[in-house]
Amino acid sequence: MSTSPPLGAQADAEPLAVRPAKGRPDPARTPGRRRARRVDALTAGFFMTPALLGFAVFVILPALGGLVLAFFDWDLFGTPEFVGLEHIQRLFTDPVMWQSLGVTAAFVLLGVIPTIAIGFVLAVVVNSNLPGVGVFRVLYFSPMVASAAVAAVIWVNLYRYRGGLINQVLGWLGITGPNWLSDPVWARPALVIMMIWSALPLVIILYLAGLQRVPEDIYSAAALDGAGKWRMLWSMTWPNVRSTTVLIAVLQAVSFISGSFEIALIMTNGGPLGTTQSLALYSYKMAFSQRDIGYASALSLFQLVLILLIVLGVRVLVQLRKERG
Amino acid sequence: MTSRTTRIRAAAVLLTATALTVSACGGNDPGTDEGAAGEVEGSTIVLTTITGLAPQFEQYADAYMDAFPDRTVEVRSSTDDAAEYSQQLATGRISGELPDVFFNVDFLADTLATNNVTLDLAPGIEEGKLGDLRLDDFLPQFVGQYRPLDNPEQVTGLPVSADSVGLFYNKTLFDQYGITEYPEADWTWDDMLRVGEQITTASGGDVIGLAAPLGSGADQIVFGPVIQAFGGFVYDPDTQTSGIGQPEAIEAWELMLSAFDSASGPYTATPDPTVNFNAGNVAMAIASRGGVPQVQATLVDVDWDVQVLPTIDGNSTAGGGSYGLSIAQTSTNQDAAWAFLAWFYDTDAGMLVAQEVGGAIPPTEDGIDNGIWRDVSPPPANIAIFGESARTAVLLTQMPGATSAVLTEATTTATQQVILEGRDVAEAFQEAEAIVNAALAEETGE
Repeated sequence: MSTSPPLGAQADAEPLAVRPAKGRPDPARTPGRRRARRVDALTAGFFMTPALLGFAVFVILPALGGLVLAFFDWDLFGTPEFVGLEHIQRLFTDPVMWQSLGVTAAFVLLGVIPTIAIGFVLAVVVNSNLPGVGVFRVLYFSPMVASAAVAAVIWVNLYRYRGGLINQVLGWLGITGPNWLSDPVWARPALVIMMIWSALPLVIILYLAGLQRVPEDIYSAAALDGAGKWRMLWSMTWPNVRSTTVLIAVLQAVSFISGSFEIALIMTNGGPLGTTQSLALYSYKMAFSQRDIGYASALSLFQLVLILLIVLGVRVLVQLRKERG
Repeated sequence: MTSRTTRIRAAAVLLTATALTVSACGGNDPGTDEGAAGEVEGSTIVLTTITGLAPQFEQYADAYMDAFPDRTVEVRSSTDDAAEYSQQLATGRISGELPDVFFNVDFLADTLATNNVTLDLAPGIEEGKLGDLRLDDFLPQFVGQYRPLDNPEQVTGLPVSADSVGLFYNKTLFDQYGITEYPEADWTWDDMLRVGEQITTASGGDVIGLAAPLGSGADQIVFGPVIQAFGGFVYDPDTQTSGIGQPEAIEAWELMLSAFDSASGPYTATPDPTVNFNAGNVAMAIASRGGVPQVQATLVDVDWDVQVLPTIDGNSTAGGGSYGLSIAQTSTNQDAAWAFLAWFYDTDAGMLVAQEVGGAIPPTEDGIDNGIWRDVSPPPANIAIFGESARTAVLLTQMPGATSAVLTEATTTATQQVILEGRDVAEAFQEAEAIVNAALAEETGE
C-alpha cells in the first residue's frame, strides 16, 4: 500500500506558517523590516492609486448611481422623480421579470455544468502529450480572440435555417434541422451551446493552471497501485482541481447570468416568445428601448443581489466543506 | 478600523454617490439652458447623424463649405441603433454637449420636444430663416411627424426626404419560374399573396415569392397602413388608445400573417440577410424608396422594377416617413444652424446635392414634381411611383413617450404567438392591445 497523504490534500493545503523560535526577536517586527514594509506599502499604493481612482470613478460610482436610480422614475431626458420602492414592488408582480429570471436560471443550469465538464476534459487533453495536441492548443484559444459580437454573428450564420452550416450537415445525414433561432424549443439550447463554446478558452486556461499544481508523484504512486488512466483522472486529477472547479463554477455562473446579454441581443433579441430574454437583456430593453431607467435599475439591482447570493452560497459551501475536513 | 467607522464611511460614500447621480441627472433642468444666435460668418457647427447616413452628410457638408468657405460644418457619426442614439442624445443633453444640428426621427421626436431638446422651428421659418421656403411648402403629413403631440403648432424637425414604400419585384425570378403576371398598379393584396405563393411553390422553396410583409411582427410601416385600409387604427391621439385588437385590425393581421409559410417561407425572429431582395433570392418585397441605391448596387445583372403597393378595398397601403433635421435648443450657434438648413432645403442648392448623392425625394410639392430624383437610369424604370406614393402614404403614428417601443414588442410577441404557438389571432392581438393601452395610460396619466 502507498503511504502517500490523502489525495487532494497537497494541492489545496495552506502553506505552513513560519514562526520564530521562542526567545528570539521576530525579524518581521524589527525596525528595519517595519520601515521596509512601510516603503513597500507606499510604493504599492503609489502604483495602485491611479487604477483604483479610475475604477472608483468609472465603475463603482456609476454602479452606485445606477442602484440609486432604482428609486427614481427617469426617461433619460427629463428630471428624475423619486418614487421610493415602487420599482422594487413592481419587480415581483411583473410576469416578464419572472420569465426572464427563469431564462437566466435555465442559462446557468444548462450552461455551467457542461462548460465545466467539457473544459476539464479538454484541459486534460491539452495538458497531455498526445500527437497533434499542439494544433489543438492553438485552436482552443480561438474563441477568445473573437469579440462576443463577432462570434455571435458567426453563430447566427451557422444556425441559419436556410443555408446554415449546421442544417447543411444535418441535411447530409438525412435530418431536417430546425429553425434554430426562431424556434421556441431550440433557440435557448442553441444560445447555450454558443455560450459554452465562447466560455471554454478561459475555463481551459484555469484548469491548465490547476493541473500544473497537481504533483506528479501521486500519479506514480497510483500507477504502482495499478490504477488505470480513467481511474487516475476521476479519483486523483478531478479531486485535486476541486478549488479550480469551484472558482470556475462561480465565474461561469456569473458569466451566464450577465454575459448572456450581448449574445442574446445579437442572436435572437430575446425571442422567440421571450425564451432567450435573460434578466440582463430585459433590463437593457427597459432602459434603452422603453427608456424606463428606474425600473431597469431595479432589475439590475435584483440581478446584483442574485449574483451576490450565488457567490456567498458557494463561499458558505466551501467553508462548510473545509470545516468537515 | 472599527466596524462602526466602516459603516459610517460606507454610508458617506453612498450618500456622495447619490448626490452626484441625482445632481447629474437633474442638474440639467429642462428649459434652464438657453441657446444663442451666435455668428454665421466664420462659424463652426456640429451636425450629428446616424452611421449609415454619415457619408452622405459629409458630402453635403463639403458642398456647403465649398459654397461658403468661411463656414464650417463638422459631421459626427453616431450609431445606427435607435436605442443607442436616443441614449447618446440624452447623454449630450445632460452634459450640455448636444450638437447644433442633429438627425431626428418620428418615434423620438415627441420625447425630444417634450424635454426641450429640440428647438421649435416654426417661428424661425415664419421669420424667413429658410429664405422663401414656408411650412406650407412641405408635404403636411411629413412635417406632421415633427409636431409635438401636446403642442401641434410647433415644428421641431424638418423632413429630409419624402420616402414611402413600394413593391420591389425581380422580373428575372418571375421569368425563371414561368410567372408572367408582373405586379400592376391595380393589384390587390390577394393578387400579391397569390403570385408570391406561386413563385415559392414553383421554385420548390429555393426562392421566396414574397418577403414576409410583417417581418418579425414589428414593421409598423407595413401593418399601420394595412390596418388603416381595413378601417382600423394603430393609435388614436384623440382617445389616446391603440386599436390593434379591434375587429378591423384583426382582419388586417389575418391577411398579413397568411403570407408566412405559403408565400414567405417560415417565420424568422430576427432579420435574415440571406433572404433579402438584395440577395437576389426574393421575387417580391415591400421596401422603402431609400433602398433603391443599394438594390442598384447589388442586383447588377438582374431585371427588376418597382410598383405601387397593392390596395385593400381600393385603399392605398403604402407607408412612409422621413428622418428629419433638428436644431438643439441649447445650441449657441443657432443662426449658423439656420443658415445651414436654409442652404440644405434650397431646391437649387442642398436639396440638389441630396437628390444626387442620397437619392432623396424633396419633401415639398415642387420637389416631388420637378426634382431630379426621377432622372435615375433604370432599373427601376418605374421610379416615378414613389412621387405619388409620397402624397398618399400613411405615415408612422407618433405615440407619446416610449410607447411605440411597447407597441413594437407587443405586436412582435403576438405575431410569434400566432405563428409559433398556433394561438388565435384575435386573442393574441387583443392581449397586445391591452398591453399597449396600459402603457399609454401610464404614460399619459389617464
